Amino acid sequence: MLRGMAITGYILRRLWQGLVVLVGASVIVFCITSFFADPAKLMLPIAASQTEYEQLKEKLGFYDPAYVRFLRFLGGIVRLDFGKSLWQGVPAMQLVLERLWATTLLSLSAIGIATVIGVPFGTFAALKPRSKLDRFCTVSSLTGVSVADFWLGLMLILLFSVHLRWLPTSGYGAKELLLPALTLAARPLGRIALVTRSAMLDELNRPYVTTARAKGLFEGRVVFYHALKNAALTVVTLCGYEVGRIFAGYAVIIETLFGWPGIGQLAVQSISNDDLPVVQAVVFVAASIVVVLNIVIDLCYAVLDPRIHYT
Amino acid sequence: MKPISSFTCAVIVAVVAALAAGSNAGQVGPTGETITIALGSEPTTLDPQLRDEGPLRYTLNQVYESLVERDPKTMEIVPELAEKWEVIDQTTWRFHLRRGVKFHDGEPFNAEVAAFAFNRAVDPKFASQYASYWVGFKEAKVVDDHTIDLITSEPVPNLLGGLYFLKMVPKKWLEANPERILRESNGTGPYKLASFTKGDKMTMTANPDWWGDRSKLPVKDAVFLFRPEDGVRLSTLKAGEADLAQNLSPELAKLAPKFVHKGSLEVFLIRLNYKTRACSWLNDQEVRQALNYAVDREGIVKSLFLGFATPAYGQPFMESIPGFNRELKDYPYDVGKAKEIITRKGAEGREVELWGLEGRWVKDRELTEVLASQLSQTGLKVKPKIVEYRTWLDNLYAMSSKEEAVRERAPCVQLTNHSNEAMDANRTMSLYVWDQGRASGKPTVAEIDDIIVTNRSELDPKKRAATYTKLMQMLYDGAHAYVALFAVDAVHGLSDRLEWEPRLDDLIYVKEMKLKK
Repeated sequence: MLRGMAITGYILRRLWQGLVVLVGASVIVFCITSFFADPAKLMLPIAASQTEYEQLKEKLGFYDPAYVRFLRFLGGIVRLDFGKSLWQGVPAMQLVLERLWATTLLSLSAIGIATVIGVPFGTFAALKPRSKLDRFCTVSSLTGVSVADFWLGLMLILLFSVHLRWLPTSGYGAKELLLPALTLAARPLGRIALVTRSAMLDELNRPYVTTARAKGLFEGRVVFYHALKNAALTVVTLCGYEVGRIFAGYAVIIETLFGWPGIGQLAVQSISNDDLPVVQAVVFVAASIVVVLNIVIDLCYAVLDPRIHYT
Repeated sequence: MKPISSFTCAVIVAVVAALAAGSNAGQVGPTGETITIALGSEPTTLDPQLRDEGPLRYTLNQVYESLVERDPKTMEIVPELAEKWEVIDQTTWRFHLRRGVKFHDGEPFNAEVAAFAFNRAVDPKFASQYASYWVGFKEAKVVDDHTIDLITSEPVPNLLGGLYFLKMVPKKWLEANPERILRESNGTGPYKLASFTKGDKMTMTANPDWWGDRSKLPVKDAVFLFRPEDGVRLSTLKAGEADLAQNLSPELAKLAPKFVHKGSLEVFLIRLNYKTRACSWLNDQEVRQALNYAVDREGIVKSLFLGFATPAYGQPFMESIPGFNRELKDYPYDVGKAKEIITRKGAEGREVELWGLEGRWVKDRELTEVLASQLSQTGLKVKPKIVEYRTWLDNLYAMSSKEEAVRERAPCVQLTNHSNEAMDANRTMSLYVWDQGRASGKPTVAEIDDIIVTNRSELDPKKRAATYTKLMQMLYDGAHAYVALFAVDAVHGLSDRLEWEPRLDDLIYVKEMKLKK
């Protein structure tokens, strides 16, 4: 009961802090983009005249004084209204929300693959340190972390779509999810495997493991239940971090490559078009997700480790 | 340490061999009643009158039509929703509209609708990006049920070229809800928009009530995929998912089952600026000629573009534009002569920056670097300067800025790619040559600038073209305003079953495609 109240208090405090972060990030983005962006120029063909350029700027509200635009922006944030996309004419937040599920699905699939393969990988490597399996695990994990995701994506397309014709090259759908998720999973997989390996190496050398084995418990239960549960904290933190990284940027290349309609693709298009409302909306949503993710991960600790108290 | 067992080795070798062998087996390509086209980018709006964007035209030209279109082979203006037209006076053109045409929702197409569509498009408050194509378009007046008059504010010789881009949109449908055109489509064309998944694809289905020859339509359904990466577009072809992969680089095109290449409207130029103080060294005809002599156009076409380009005949556009001068040949490649001129003028060792871009046009970065090194052979010290599009654009216009500080920043030599979609010489002249042109680095030269201004109002096409032809010779002799480089081919990959030739104006029409049986 008391713990429940402590947790609720903790959540509320973290949410408040998160809000401050969000507003801060949004204001920074607004200032930077307003200074440097000139969507009117980019929207017109090269042969357009100076008058057309000025007319369009006026229409887009760029001749209003800076403080007016800033106040308009702040007022909008409160209502989650970022205005209409300069390029597409539909509300910016709507554009972002339309694409949010696609990126979420992709990142969860990628992390899912990375965890399901990476954790056992790292565990088996830790069970027999310096064995052939361990070396193989370490090398392939490092490869996963170092390889260029761009190149890997193209190679996977060449192999599975063009040569083998097992999977579609690109697009949005259930079969289409596999290749981008695999590509996106490579780096987290490598990291998770390496981190699991070192965390498990730590755990398996603890006295309680020797005790458990002496008790006669099945090796599987010792390793995958007792030891792994204690190593899980590090792995869970890393998973949260990796999902956040995907939303904060890694999704961009993969989504553009595979024609996966997520917010990564939207972000890069809106930046190159100087579509300020959409850029601001994307940053806000991505930042919110990272904030919420961090809170969720912190709460997971309470589940995994009863020693942790929230004050 | 045990060596890898020979069995494992054998397995690895067998797998690799199988993959390599399986690569080109069964390259039949897509089958079925759908044509799939992989484009490099997607439209940012569904309003066909609003934005001057390639992707918008590539997709929605199946859905929306104009009063006139261009014949795919000759590029001459031919009837589409207007059957015939005549010039009534200097500022009035009368169009007789086709009968029996309906929009996809059943609304009939008539003079009232046509006038509405025209007035909507040219309204300054609408701020269409096509405004520069529609300069002088004032308003449309209904004459009778199937006749309208288009009124211009001054004589507009290239009215038809601009009208080509003015799509007919329905009146009642839009008046009921003006915003819906951003999400739905309702045109008169042979295909209806079925769905649009932003970031992925657009699907269309045949219009059973289309006024044209429906038997010529090759398929019932068309799909447009949006794949920014050209390696992925090629993969869709090779994996049998697409029939057409648009805009492949020369190297990738050779890997496609079939590829086509044809001259396009894009011409690479070096824009010369000799208006500003910093670039006054270029305000010398011989020096500019030296730059022309220094470029090995044939060599670049062969090695950089793998033959998929044509040297530009010393002009900023090619044969399809009226006014093209058939007598002109490009400046010959003569480094010795160029060097001699530069030395004689004392410009040796002068440091120059050649401004260019990366990732916007085919081989733009490589081209900038090659040109910089070739121009340096004259004795000038030319360095390539690759900038981001926004900066490049700002500096393209810098000379026409009201502020002197901005003007003086304008680069002396800048690589640009000019695509004259209006197919009218005035567009090029007014932008790059006229002394008041927004991207023009040429100071006032009375004979040239007067011709440019007066020819804008010349309504007789033959006289107009003859004047431009003369102008081309004058610009060539004086090496004014630009160094003409080459016209780039459009290169596309095709599946085995698709029969299609690219159009000069770069548009894609499913109705012009055929499938091999």
